[in-house]
Amino acid sequence: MSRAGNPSLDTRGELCPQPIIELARRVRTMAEGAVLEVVSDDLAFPLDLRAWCAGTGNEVLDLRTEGRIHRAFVRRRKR
Amino acid sequence: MPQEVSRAKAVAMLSGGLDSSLALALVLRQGIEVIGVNFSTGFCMTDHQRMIGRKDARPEKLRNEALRAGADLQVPVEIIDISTEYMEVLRRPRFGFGKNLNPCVDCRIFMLQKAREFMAEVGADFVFTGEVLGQRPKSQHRRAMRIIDAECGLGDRLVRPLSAKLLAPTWPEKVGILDRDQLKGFHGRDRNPQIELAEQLGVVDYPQPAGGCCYLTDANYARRVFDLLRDHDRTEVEQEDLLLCKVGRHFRLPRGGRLIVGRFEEENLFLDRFRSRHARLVATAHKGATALVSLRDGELPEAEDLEVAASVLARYGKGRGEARVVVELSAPDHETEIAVQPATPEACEAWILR
Repeated sequence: MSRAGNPSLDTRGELCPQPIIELARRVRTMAEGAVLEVVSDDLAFPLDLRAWCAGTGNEVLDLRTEGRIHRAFVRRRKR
Repeated sequence: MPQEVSRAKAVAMLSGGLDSSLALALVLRQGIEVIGVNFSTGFCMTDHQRMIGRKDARPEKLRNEALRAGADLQVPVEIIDISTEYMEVLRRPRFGFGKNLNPCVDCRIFMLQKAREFMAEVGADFVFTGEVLGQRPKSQHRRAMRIIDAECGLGDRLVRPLSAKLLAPTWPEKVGILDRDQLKGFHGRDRNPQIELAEQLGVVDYPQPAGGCCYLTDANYARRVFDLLRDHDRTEVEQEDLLLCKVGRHFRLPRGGRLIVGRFEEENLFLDRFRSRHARLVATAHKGATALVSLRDGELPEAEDLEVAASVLARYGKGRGEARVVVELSAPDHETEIAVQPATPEACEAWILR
């Protein structure tokens, strides 16, 4: 769980394309409208995350980068 | 219109390059629901650059193009990791290798088999690709395509929208899901028809140059792997061995040992991850490269090889102008220091794998 009480997924150390694969797998198990916090140190993760969300209809609520760490909140789309 | 039109669903094999993006745009234009699939084999050059993580790397150059293409056309893309199973394709390609380490026909068959499984999983009606007849010598000529169609099990459920008019009608064309007239008859290596079509369809963002993302088609990479195979049976080679062939400068030492020397800080850090299965070399008092020497059945290579390895390593560090450089060697259950004279450029040239 993240500090905000959302479920979280830490993919630090995972090599591309694993972070997006794991994110997709996890989001599929979530209820519609639920929010997941995801953390990655993959260089191009922010670009891939936004692209994945644009294609799948899921929503990036927030995305911040500190040093090499990217932290995002993703909401599962409502059908 | 037949009822199937409203329910038709397809799987796009999507690399995110120009051809697969155009194929996607052509199929979407016919009102078909599409899910993209992108297979990760472990041999994508961009993925490797991301893995190394150079500080000066530009993220926009390293984005996943399949996800980007899906986003541009509002299509969901599923990335599937097939890297472990793909090792078997590489170990025993039934249809052989191309010019380098590329088992293109077996690769297409395997990926299309996976796409067929995905098609069943998501309830899609057919699979399509961005292949162009005559574009690639190993897998995109008529005979190879016939073999691939039969072996992958998709048969006429496999569509190649960019060359469809030159090929036999497929099932979606026969039943009216796809209008053959709206598909293309592209042939060969000329990219101009695709560039023209991209302008017509508003496909503006695609990677340049086309192709060239696969290590298996890279001559340098293939030379390193074939050299590795001098020591190992093909069935013994692991993913980690093939991964290390992508990194650093490679040397074949005088007594047969293998040495990898990092070329920059991030490669040195990357090599550090593999120290549990190799002997690691670093200079004790001079900044420079990290190197790995392969162990043989868990044992250190012969002393002569270790000495040469240390001298080569010393050459790629701040101590290259010194008379002696002390190199620390650490291996599982073994640590020692070797004092060597840095190798000359000529000596390095004699052992390096080109």
